[in-house]
Amino acid sequence: MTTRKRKTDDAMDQWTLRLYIAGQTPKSIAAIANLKKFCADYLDERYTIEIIDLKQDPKLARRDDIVAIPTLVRKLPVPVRKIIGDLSSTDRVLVGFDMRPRVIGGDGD
Amino acid sequence: MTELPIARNPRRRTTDLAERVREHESLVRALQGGEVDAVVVLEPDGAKLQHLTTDEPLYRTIVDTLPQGVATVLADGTITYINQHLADSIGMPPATLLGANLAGYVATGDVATFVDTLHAALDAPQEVGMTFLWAHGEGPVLVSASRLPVDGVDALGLVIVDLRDRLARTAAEEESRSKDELLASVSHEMRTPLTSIMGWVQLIEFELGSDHHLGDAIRNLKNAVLAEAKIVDDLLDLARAEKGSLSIVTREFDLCESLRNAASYVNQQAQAKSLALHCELPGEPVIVRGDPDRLRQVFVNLLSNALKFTDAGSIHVRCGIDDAYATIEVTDSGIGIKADYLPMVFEPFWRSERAKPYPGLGIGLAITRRLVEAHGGTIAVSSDGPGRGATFTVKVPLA
Repeated sequence: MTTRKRKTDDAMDQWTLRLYIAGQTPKSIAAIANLKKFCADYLDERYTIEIIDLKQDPKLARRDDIVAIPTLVRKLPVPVRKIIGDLSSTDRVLVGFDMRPRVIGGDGD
Repeated sequence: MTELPIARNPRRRTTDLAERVREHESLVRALQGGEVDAVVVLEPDGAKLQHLTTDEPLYRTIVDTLPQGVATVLADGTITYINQHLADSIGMPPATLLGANLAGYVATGDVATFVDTLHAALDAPQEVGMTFLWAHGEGPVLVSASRLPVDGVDALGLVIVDLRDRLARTAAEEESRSKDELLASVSHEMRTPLTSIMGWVQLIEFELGSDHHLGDAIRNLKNAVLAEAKIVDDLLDLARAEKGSLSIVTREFDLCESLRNAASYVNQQAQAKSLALHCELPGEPVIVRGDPDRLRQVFVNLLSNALKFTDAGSIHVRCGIDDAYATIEVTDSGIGIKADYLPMVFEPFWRSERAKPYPGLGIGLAITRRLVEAHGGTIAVSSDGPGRGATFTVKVPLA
């Protein structure tokens, strides 16, 4: 994992993140751990994380049109962005949140 | 490979489309990379989760390593799963026990009831329990059996708890509790007559007048009663602390006040032993939230302790602020503490060999620690060794 910290304008705003998981599954646990690490490395405490366990109430998936678990939703700053998966690739999270330019022709990792 | 910034189209429709493409890309990547463990299946009146991977491995690990016996069996007692703890109780590896009949390891006298219990559990709406001994003679153990939701198969989940540990623990807790109760009631019974003696002594003192030839005798009697009352009060406090019912009335106050108060209280004692008592207090008030009387008691205990174990030299009291804490240090030049004994000094009734010639029961520091902890603070002790004094450091959160 890179320790390079790339601050963008986005990183200066307050971030509101919502992570959808499904019980104590390995990917859900990994997603929580990876999200906490990402926030600690890139967001300097300017964030709130809400974790929603769809195992308790699958209907909540409709709220953010969730199709797969785990999914991370960035509610703020706009635009709303979704990243599906266990967030194990920090690069993909950075690209997904426009914190790093997309690489055309590569796999983005 | 070319790097391009994200194309931002001012027209909203295109932006929405781009977002959706992004999202689909993200889904495909996550699915291909095995990062997804469930998908959401929408239904007319809600949604459900379709798990691609299961959470079984995690629960399995928890059950495998649980320090209680767990097994699943068929209606006749055939073991379909057994955890390590239960296998250890029986004395065989789990792999050997798989497929064996659990009833075969139950003491002969208990087998019939054990088999009946399994059958009863199949039809019971909730778990059914019994106690039995193992065939190798150990136990008793408590089994509780409940029907498992497995289609077309009569299966049971068993939780087996060893009652020996529990019985032993209950006996130990009972013994400890009765000791605390004895301590509390004895201390209380001792305190009542002391109050009465003190009342009569004061009456005699008043009647005779201070210049009576028995004046010294009366003063000595009073001091002896006060000393006795202090010991009994300490015992009562210790008994209350053990029960978790120390009374603490909190408010915001200046800690320096308490320190000055405690220092002047023990000053006479210091003068009697020709010891210098130095206080270094900050000019500003140090405001904490706590019980001023109880914290004064902490400082009186620490200062009395320092004075008791110091025959020459001086006692230093320092108060400062360290982050969110008020830090108070009481340093003496007394008999010091061996490094091995440092962890024991706050234990009730503990006294080192070298402390034996000095009066006391060994409860002052035990109470002190409990009082400090009741304030959300900490207390620590350090010493350079025998004959080289000791320092007690108290930290109490600032208000």
